[in-house]
Amino acid sequence: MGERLVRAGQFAAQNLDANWIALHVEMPLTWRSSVRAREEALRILRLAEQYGAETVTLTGRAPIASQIIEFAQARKVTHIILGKPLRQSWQRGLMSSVIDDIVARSGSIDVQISGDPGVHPRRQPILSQHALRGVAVKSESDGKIPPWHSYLAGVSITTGCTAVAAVMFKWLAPTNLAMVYLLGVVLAATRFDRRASVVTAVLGTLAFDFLFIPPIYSFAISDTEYLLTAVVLLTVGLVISALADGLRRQARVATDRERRTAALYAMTRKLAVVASLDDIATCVRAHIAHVFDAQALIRLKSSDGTMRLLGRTDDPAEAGWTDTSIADWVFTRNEIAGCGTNVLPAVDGLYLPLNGTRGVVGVLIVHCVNRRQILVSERRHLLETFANPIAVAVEREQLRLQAHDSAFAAQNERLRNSLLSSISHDLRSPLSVMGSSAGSLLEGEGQLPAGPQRQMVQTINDEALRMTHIVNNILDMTKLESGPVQLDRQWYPLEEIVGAVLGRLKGQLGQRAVSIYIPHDLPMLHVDGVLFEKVLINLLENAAKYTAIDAHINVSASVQGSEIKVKVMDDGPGVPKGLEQFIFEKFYRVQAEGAVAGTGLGLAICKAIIEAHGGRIWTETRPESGAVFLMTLPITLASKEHAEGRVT
Amino acid sequence: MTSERPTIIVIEDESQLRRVLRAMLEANGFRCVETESAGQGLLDAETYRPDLLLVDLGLPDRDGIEVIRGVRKWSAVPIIVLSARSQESDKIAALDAGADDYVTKPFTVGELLARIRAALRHAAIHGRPESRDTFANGELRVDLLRRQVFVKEQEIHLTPIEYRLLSVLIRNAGKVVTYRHLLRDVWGPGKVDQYHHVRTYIADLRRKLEGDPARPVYLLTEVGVGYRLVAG
Repeated sequence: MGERLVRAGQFAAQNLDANWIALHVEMPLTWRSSVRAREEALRILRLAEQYGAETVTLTGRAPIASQIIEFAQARKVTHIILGKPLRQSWQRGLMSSVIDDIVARSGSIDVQISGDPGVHPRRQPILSQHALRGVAVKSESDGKIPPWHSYLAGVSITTGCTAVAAVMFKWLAPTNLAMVYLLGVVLAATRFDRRASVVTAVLGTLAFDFLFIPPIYSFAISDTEYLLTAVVLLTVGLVISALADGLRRQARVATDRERRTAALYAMTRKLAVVASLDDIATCVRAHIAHVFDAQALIRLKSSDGTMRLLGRTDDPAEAGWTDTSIADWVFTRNEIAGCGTNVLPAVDGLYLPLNGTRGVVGVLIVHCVNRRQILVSERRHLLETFANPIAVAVEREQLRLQAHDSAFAAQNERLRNSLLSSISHDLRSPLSVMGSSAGSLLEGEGQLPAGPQRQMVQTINDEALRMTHIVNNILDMTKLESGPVQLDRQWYPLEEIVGAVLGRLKGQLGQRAVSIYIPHDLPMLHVDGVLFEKVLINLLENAAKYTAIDAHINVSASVQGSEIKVKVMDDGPGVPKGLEQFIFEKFYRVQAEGAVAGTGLGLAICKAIIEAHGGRIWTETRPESGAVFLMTLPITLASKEHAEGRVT
Repeated sequence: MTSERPTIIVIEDESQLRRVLRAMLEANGFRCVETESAGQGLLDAETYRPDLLLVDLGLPDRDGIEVIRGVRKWSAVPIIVLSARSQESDKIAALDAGADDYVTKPFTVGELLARIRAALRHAAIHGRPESRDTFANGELRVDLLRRQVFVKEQEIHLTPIEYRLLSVLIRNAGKVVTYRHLLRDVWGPGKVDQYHHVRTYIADLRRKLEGDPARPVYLLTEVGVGYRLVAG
């Protein structure tokens, strides 16, 4: 059945790793013949769709074989699979001729006849197609017959008719012989083109007059009856030629339109699912190349006012033929310009404004490899039709991006607000404590007992220090965030910086035992000394803040591959599980309002500094207990030299 | 040093801070002269012949560094810089212009007093060069005449460069000596931007002199600025 053919197609497509198309050629005959047969065909097509095929239905026109081949060529099909007919013998004969025809015309396309056919084999050739390669197809060459070919055909048909008429001359009246010539005209009109039929009509009339109307072998006509016959023959012949030609043209226009509509539909369907502006550009480029044999680009107005090229172009020269100033003009004026139009008709590209629902969203630029392709006004109209779904897709993507941006901005705003409230809280509380302490000292001047007085002074001092710390942290963070950090990189032995930090934090570390392990051959660090010192200060301050007074803190360093790894460990409570990523975020604190004072900026500052140096910082939980902070800094070649470098 | 109270000129534009500094200095036995501009400061320095100057770097009329340069033309009086900026380059510029030390705002009272006392002491010693034939601090002793260095009375062998480095630091004991200063005095003017040489040799020197080089007692680091040898 038809299913077999579909499976054969799917199997072949899978083997070839190709896209495949199930093609159904609907003969006008079928409309009347059988509703059941049509339903069956639709069922098979749906099945093919389930197997991943693209389904296409063509209205049949003779000759079917060349119609199928044309379609296959236009879609760059590489393999055709056909069903074998299994019908009454006369039908089989007809079908076989179609198959033979397809095989004969297939050229470079492989044709395969599936063993078990379908019910309607001719209606379901299965085509497999390799992915579009973006190269245009020659689509206009079909059905065009060179003129000399037509004239030759006309002459041959007339000669044939004359031969037949000569045979019948003995038995029939000359008037009846005119019918033979009319038959010839019909043949020429249907099988060939208008030229052939006109030639046949004129030559036929002349031959008829010359050979069969008395006086024979003369163009003179003696009998008025024959004059009428000759005139009617010529007139009817010419009318038939004109009618047949009109029909053929209509059919061709219809097929053309059908193909374009299908292409437009295919592009619209693709555009509906693409997820980014770049993908839109790629999709449009492929489809325009396929339908119009032309390169296409899209330019959008970017925020700085220039016409930005959308998507990547593989070929830098490809962008060379577009002119941003023309694109800008088209964008602002919302008018078509470029090759074949009234505006700048001499340039290489055709510039079409992309009209969305809210005005022009961009410009579609089509470069014609073959100028004539675009100059035909029907084609230009079609191109304008293509511009609509493109504009809609671009507009949709732009709106989506806008929505995304505004959501992002709102989130940013929320973050900023939470930062503000956090900062204002952290600054206000020490201020109010200091203010009230100083106030009560002033009021109770001389009357306060020495103990409380001293306590208040102590409070003011402590709070001032705390506030200094907060303000310093905020300033550091602002400096680090206000743009690319200017690093004053110099060569430092790690030992020296650790030593300086321990000296500074002597008071805060107090009784805590700090052990240091730094190998003597550790390469020097190429860092901004002051910033790197800040990192270590923050880490050790944290260790001091969160651990008991008799805690152990360990600072060690090692070389791991192309990095220097520095580790700060303590045996305090450690970082709560699951919060490892968050603690490096700004204003994040494990305890919101805890016993431990801080701004939640220390680790964020560490992270910003280490990342500015091209390193990483993270935390791990120790299996026992306590926090481990690790950071890596890349070793440059020079740092190895400096490790041994001595100058005398 | 005179038998009177030492005079300190405070050149600072912020009146609140001037008030606090005056209170603090007078409570600790110093005489205090306040000035709020660089121009007036230079005049006052000539008029009062102070024992020490406290100079703010951000003054309304001129940069504090110009005050330092102006005073250094005729006097070696100790100058301590008060800097609100934590930018190391400003500190280095002030030190290279002739300042003896710096304190970064906000500072604590104890910190500033310690720096003032150290600077005054250093100036007093500097006035008697004959006393500078030995340097001693804790277990470290340097015989400047015989060029011998002892730790716990054990003689330590130093390379010529290490010894020169140490002697420059001893000459400026208690003060921050910038990398540039050390390079100029030890290696000569050709190598003044190769700071890592200084750091390498300081590291070596620490390994020889300090009990735990990562916890230096004598040779302290001012990261990004230079080194300070703790005065005995």
